Order: sequence, then C-alpha cells, then structure tokens
Amino acid sequence: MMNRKWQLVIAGCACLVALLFIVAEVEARRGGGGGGRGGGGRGGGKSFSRSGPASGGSVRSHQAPSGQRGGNRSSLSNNRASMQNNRSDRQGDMQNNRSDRRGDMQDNRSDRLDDVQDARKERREDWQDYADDVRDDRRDWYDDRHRYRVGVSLTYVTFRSLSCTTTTVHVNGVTYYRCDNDWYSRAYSGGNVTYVVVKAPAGY
Amino acid sequence: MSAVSRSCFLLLVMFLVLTGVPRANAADPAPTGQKAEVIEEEVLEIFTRFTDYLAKLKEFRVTAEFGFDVLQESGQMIEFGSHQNVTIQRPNHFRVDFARRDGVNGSVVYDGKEVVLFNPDEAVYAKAPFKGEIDDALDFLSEELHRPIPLRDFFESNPGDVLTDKIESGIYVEESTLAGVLCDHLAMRNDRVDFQIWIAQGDEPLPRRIIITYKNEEGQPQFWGQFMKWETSPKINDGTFTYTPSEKSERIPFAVVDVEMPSKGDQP
Repeated sequence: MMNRKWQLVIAGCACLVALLFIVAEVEARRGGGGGGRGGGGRGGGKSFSRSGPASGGSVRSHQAPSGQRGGNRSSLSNNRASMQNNRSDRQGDMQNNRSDRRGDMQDNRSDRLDDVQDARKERREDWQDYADDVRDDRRDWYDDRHRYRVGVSLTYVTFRSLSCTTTTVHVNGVTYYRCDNDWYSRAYSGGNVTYVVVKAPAGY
Repeated sequence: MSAVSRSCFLLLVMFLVLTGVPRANAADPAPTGQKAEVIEEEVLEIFTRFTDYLAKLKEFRVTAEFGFDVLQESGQMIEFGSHQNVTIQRPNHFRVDFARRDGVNGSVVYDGKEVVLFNPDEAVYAKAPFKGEIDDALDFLSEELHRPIPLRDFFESNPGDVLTDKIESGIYVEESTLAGVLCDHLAMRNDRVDFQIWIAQGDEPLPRRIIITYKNEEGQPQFWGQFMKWETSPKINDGTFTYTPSEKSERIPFAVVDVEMPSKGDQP
C-alpha cells in the first residue's frame, strides 16, 4: 500500500519535471535565441542595421580576402595581397633552390650559382619596378586631400535628430555645421552621405 | 507497478520526442538525403550560354529591383532594397544610378580614370582617382570605398567565372514564366551559397531573377534581384560616365575608418 503511494508520488514528480522541460524547450524555440521585439529597443525605433552578409548581392563571400579570386586584378588591395603571395612564393622558390643545390653540389656548381644569382637579381628588379608602381598609385590616393581619417560619423537621420540648432558656415568650399561645441562636415562613408565630427574650421 | 512503469516509460518517450529529436534535426542544416552533388549537363549548357552571351556584350544597360535580408541585433530579420539602373561599357566605363526604398538616391560613375559618387538631392559628390578595368574598379569600390555594387557578378568581364566559382551542384528545376517571359529555373550550390537563377529562353539568354541564400550566415539571409529590363544597345552619350558638378555642388571626402597610411620609403 505504502509502496504504491510512493510509486505514484515518484510518477507525479517525473511527470512534472518532464512538463517543465517541455515548456522550457518550446519557449526557447519560440524565442529563437533572441528578443522578440524588433528595432533593438532603441529610442525612436529606427536604428536598424542596414547592411549584412546579404546586402552585397554577390555569390562570393562578403568577407573573402582580396586576391582570392582568379584573374589578374590590379586593385590596390589585391596588389598588396598578391605581392605578399609573390613574396612567400619567392621565399619558397629560394628555399627549394637552396635544397636542390645542396643535393647537386658536385655538378656545375658555379653555373648554378650564377643562374640563381641572375634569377634573384631579375626578381629583385621586377619586384622593385612593381613595388614602385604600386607605391606611386597608393601615394596618389592617400595624398588626395579629400580622403582623411574619421573617428565618429552620424547618419543624416541621427544628425538631424541632434538636440541643438545647427549653425552652418562655409570655409574654403566646405560646409561646416556647428552643434553646441562640436563641428561636423559631410563625407561619404560606405556609399552614404554622413556627418562626421571635425576640427573647428579656421577662424572659428 | 507495471502501470506506473509504463506511464513513466511513455513520459520518457514523449520527452525525448519533443525535445531531443527535433533539436538534432535543427542542428543538421543540410540533410544528406537532399544533397545533390551533380552539375547537370543541361544546367551547364544553359548557364554557359547565358554567361558567354553576357560576356560578349560590349555594352548594356540593365534595370533591376533588389532586396536583401539584414538580421538585426534583436534577432529579427528585416528586408531593405533598392531600384538600380546600371550601364556598362567594356572594358572600363560604368554608371550606377540607384533609388533606395528609404528615399536616398545617388549614382556612381567610372570613366576609366576616376570613380565618382554623387548625390543630387544633397548636392554633394566625392571622387577618387583610379585606373583599371571594370572588375578592378568594382573591387576598389568594395574594398577601399566600402561601397559594393549589388549584383556586381553580372557586370564583370567574365561573369561565368565568378558565378560558377567552386560550384558543387547544379540542377534544373523547371520551366518557369516570369512577367510573361519563359525562363529556365536553375538551382546551384557551393559551400557558401545556394543560388537560384531564372534565365530567359530564346535569343537573349539573360537572367530575369536571382536569389542568393547565404546559408552559412546567421539566419541564412537572402538577396533577391529582379532584372526588369535588359538593353543590349543602350543610348550612351558623353555625360553617361562622367559627372559635372553644378555650381552649388560640394565636393566632400570619403570618410574611411582605420586607414593604413604608408610612410615614404615603406615597402608596400
């Protein structure tokens, strides 16, 4: 009699535990691992992320390192990547040459040394020309006065929602916007016109 | 005694069915039974016909509508999109005019010498010198200016190389009519994406729709593109690939975060 009671109690407990697990599982799946509310819960509710892996619209990986693709690209980043590859290839070649040489030491030693030196010299010259060209291209681009580093950038929407009355001034063809003690000017960031924090223009 | 044991056993089975088994299924994104690792001959034929045709066009203009999913921090998937008009003149000219759904309009032009981004509504533009072919300029836009051109795979000199890179399978789905145009619906996969394309049958084998599913990314977001109009002899004039700023236009910089500035004498 007593035994049966205990069995019933145990069965009841097992039932409860199982139900709790089931409820927890269903809840977890419904939640999808994230909050159910959209917009990240920020004020205004319009702070959406607008780009991600799918926004590029390309079959290649959005994080693919440059130079991964086939073909003879000449973009700056790709040049850099391919140069690094060339460099490691060359190091590999040189090491191979060295070990080959060791195995073949008795035959035509001086000829081989000359060959290697010639090849090395040629490579060095090619490398130098290539590096010069690329460096010139890069310097042209970096010297461009219309490219600079920025720390903070605001979207048009965010900028317009700043709690201040902006003053606009034009200095040397650039429009500056003053908000309290901060100065902003416009710049392209990721293809969008944004407002970036800048130093005060000359005379202000 | 036996009745209680039976009910305990039933509860245990119920628990396993409702928790363990579905979770195991959810963790397996690609059921092996459905994995086709064959590129069907017909698919290859149709696809190559399209890519060869597109690669041979010296110039073309295409109008497309596209949308893409962006997974928000909250876990919610939101779609954004744009209307895009692209004019290509090989080997080194292009123009992209876009009108985003949120009202932002703008253009990108490349004339073989410089890349210019401009936004007529805000009367601003930015430009950067660049020499190279279309593929190189698209790389430059994406990698240096962080402004990738959507659907760029179709604007490259060899779209076939890009679109079939590391392809693992390709199946013919069915004949499919899109906006009155009879198309071949193909589905392909590589290790990163599932890719569907609808290619028009007939003399102009150009795509009408694509869907890319980024299956390894969180939430498996999709990009879809609807090609509404292809012009293989577009009207092109002197101003198509250049930008002439108006008097009130202001040149603004490219704001680039974390730029590596090479010092003089540095090995690049």
